[in-house]
Amino acid sequence: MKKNDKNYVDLKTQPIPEGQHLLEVDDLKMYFHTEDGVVHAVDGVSYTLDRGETLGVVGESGSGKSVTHMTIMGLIPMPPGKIEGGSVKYRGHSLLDMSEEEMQHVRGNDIAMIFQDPMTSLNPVYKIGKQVGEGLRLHRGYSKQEALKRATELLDLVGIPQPEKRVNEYPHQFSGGMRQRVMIAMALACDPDILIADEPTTALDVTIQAQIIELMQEMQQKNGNAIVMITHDLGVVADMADKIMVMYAGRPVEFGTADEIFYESRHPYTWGLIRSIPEQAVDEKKPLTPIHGNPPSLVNLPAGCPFAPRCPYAQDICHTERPVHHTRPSGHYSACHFADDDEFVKKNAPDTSRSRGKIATGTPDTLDSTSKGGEA
Amino acid sequence: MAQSTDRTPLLKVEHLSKEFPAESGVFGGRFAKRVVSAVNDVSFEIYPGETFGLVGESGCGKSTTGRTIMRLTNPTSGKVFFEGRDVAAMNKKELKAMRRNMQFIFQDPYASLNPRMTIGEIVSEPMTIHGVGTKEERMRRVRELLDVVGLNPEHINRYPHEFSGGQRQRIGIARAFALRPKLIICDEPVSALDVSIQAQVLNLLKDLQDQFGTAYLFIAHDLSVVQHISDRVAVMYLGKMVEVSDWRTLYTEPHHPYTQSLLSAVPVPDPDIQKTRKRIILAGDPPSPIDPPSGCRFHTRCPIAQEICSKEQPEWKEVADGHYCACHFAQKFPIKESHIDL
Amino acid sequence: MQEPSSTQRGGMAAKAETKAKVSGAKSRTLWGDAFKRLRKNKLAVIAVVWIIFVILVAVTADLWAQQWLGSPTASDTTQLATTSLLPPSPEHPFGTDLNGRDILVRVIYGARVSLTVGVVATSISTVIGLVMGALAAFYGGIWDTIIMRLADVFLAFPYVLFVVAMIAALGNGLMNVFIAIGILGWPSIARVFRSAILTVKENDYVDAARAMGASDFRIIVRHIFPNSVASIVVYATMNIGSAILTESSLSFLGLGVTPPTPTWGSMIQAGQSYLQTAPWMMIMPGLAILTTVLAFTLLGDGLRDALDVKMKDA
Repeated sequence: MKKNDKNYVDLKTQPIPEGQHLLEVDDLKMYFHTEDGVVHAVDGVSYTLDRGETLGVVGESGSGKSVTHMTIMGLIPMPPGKIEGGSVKYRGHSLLDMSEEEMQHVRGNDIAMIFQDPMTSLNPVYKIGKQVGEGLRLHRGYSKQEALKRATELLDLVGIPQPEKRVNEYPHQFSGGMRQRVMIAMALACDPDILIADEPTTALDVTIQAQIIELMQEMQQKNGNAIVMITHDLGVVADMADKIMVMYAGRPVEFGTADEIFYESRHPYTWGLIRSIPEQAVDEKKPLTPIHGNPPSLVNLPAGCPFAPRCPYAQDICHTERPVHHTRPSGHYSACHFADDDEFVKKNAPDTSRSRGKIATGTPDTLDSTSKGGEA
Repeated sequence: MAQSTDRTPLLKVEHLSKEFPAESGVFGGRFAKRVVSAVNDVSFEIYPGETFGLVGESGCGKSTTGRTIMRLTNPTSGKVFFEGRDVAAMNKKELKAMRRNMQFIFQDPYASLNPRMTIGEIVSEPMTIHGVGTKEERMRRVRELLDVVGLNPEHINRYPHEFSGGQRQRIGIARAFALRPKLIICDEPVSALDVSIQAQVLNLLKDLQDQFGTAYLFIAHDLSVVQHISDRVAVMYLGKMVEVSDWRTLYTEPHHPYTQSLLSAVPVPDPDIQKTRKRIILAGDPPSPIDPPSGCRFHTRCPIAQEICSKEQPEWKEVADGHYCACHFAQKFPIKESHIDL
Repeated sequence: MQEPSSTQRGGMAAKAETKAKVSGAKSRTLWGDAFKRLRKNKLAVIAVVWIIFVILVAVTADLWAQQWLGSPTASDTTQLATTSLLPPSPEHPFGTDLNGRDILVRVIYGARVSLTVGVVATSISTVIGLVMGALAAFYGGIWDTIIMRLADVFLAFPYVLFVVAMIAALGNGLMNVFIAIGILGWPSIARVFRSAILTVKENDYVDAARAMGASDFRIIVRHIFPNSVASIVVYATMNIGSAILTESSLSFLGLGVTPPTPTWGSMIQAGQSYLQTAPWMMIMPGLAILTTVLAFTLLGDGLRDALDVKMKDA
């Protein structure tokens, strides 16, 4: 077991207790108490995650997908935030019960995080090498030279050309894509168990996004870490995720494997999201089916299901009773009163490439035949 | 609406270029030697009632193109003809008359509405400026417009900060349609919105076009959105237009290696497809528009670049009917297996 | 999409949300909202109450002050032995000065001078500053360069010294105090206004107005001015306080308003020799300056917070 100067035991070197997962979030609730009322920012989030897995967390702005993970990392100021219930277990250790000092060892070392905006996440007055090596000095007790040497290696690893030269440069000398690579190098410096990525590609162009996604996947294969990918882009989760959690108004409305969410979804909100995205059509363009209305305020949540006011299938019960998680044997759950109603699901779920029995998009098919091996 | 029978273009852009000084010194950059070549030699036409999509990554000059057409900024060279008249040569009066028929929808629904004006004042402003109708008539029209864009006409006296992002974008759309213009330049009108709201706004734009026969210049970075709304699509890279064609051809038979890479880089929200399809991942970052690469501007990242690409600017040639492309090696799916080196 | 920041502002976002709910069908103006926010700020409310009180007292002084406390200027030299340097008492709440005059009535009449100077001088500075700032921001280029460099030159001089020099050149008198303080105050106002305009100009709604075919005049009057004026209101409010302070410094030095007209500065100056024996002579006008200047500063602070529209939170 590696120990640093404070005799702190790295949690990531400890075995996962029998029958448990690497990360288990169970019914986590975190509310903000403001003078105008209680904001139900995280309201009953549950999921499990294992090493080597990627969890995609999807939702619109204000759905609580980021706040949930800030809460797990202990980054929410309390007050105004307050944990109202639930648990977060990492390798059997409860993160919510840890002291701030203990959490500081977990952050960056066992669980690392990268953010959307690589410009504001890097400190403009320090050289890149110093920032990348900082975690190593903090958590591993590396000397300055050792940290710089490792930083150079890491930059090389994440595909930054001329790393020896670039460790001595400042953030403003890097492009957006390169900065996000630096962020990934920083996050991976201590070889974390879990990498939480909060919209890491949203600020980037699509060709650069493709580079970053590929890099994250490559690093995951090499290190075996788990990834939590927080994004509003269903395309990105389809690309990366093994499991997906769909969030709405602070609550997870559906959780399952990527296949379950994309092809066997049992929640009208997930259907709505899928129908809202323009398809890459080749023959005729189908009109989009938007979700009507706007997301609710988290202070005055409607009674019952938070999605009910916008749900085209809402019945009386939806406006009065909060739906429980209807869990299927595989672990796939949907927070909809009618999730177990096969008839209802069959009738209303959107067409998918699977239900149609063919892959209907043109470009990729055709592209395939001419550019095999195009994938890196 | 899709293919216009009237082949007189509503808007004709010829060899449009726009340069900005690269640095702003004591003298406001007027003597700066280095320039940012934001838009370079761009030509295209928009026909009445059609949607022309302009797609590209940040910094490719697509927004500058839109702003230059509207003359929110003056072109460095080239010509823009709106209904046959040169926009760049118009005086103030002519420009004002032209703007009655050409309107703009902005990306940021927060910054594009004056926070100190009511919704009624905002939506009626184009009518006020052009002296259309009496005050009562204008207010009646505002109520109609609010209704058309799906807002409650009762909210006419409210202020923008009382609305959500999607609703604000609807207000911006109502304002753009107030004078029933012939062309609306939409600069990333949905990119600041959440997916479910984005679909609402796209459908609204489509409905309004069907209703009023307005042409759109639709500028966006999201290929799926552009494909969905456009009749014809142009792709820009580093200030240059690299390919134009109707939407179907562009997405099924891209002739430019950049178009092809761009298409393949967009993640499709369908895991089965995503698993099977091959992606072309371009190496490196787009070069700076200050001192753009010689020859073809894409050659530094192009998987199939040859010697000629760094030396000679590729010609803008018609590869099929109405399908133009600027590449020395323009052909269907130009990037072949053997060329991919990653 | 901007979740990390919205997290940190969780409370604020929530506040805005509830507000939107509460508003119901009634429409609210931004200034109305600002007023509501200002009312919640206790310090600002106290400041407003104090300022209104001081103004009322100063304006109505002729109606009651002299009957009660005697003349602020004339003194009965024959009675000096019994009236001079009396400590505060029910009859003379602030005590009396060397000439047996009531200090309260002098402070009250001094408020007239201070408030007038504060308001008039600030108005002069504001008008010049607005014009200069607007010219620099709208015309840019050479205008901007000339005006802003001129402002820099003004700001590079030691302020009080500059005012003293101007009064020395113009001669004493209230009007000259207005002019000196007013003229020297414009550079900061011009700077604030210019940068406010430049920020507002960047907004898409200005481009939107241009794209609609709006004239420059309309854009300035309808779009730019209403959105940049808030910063000037704030700055001018605070500037009143500092103009009062400058006038007090001048009269302390014996410049500007001439005796026997009471001013707070000259009263302090007169009292400084009696700090040991009759401290009220200095303390009372000193408190008047302190509370009044503080009130304007607090009001300015409150206005700034109240007018700061967090558009993105709505």
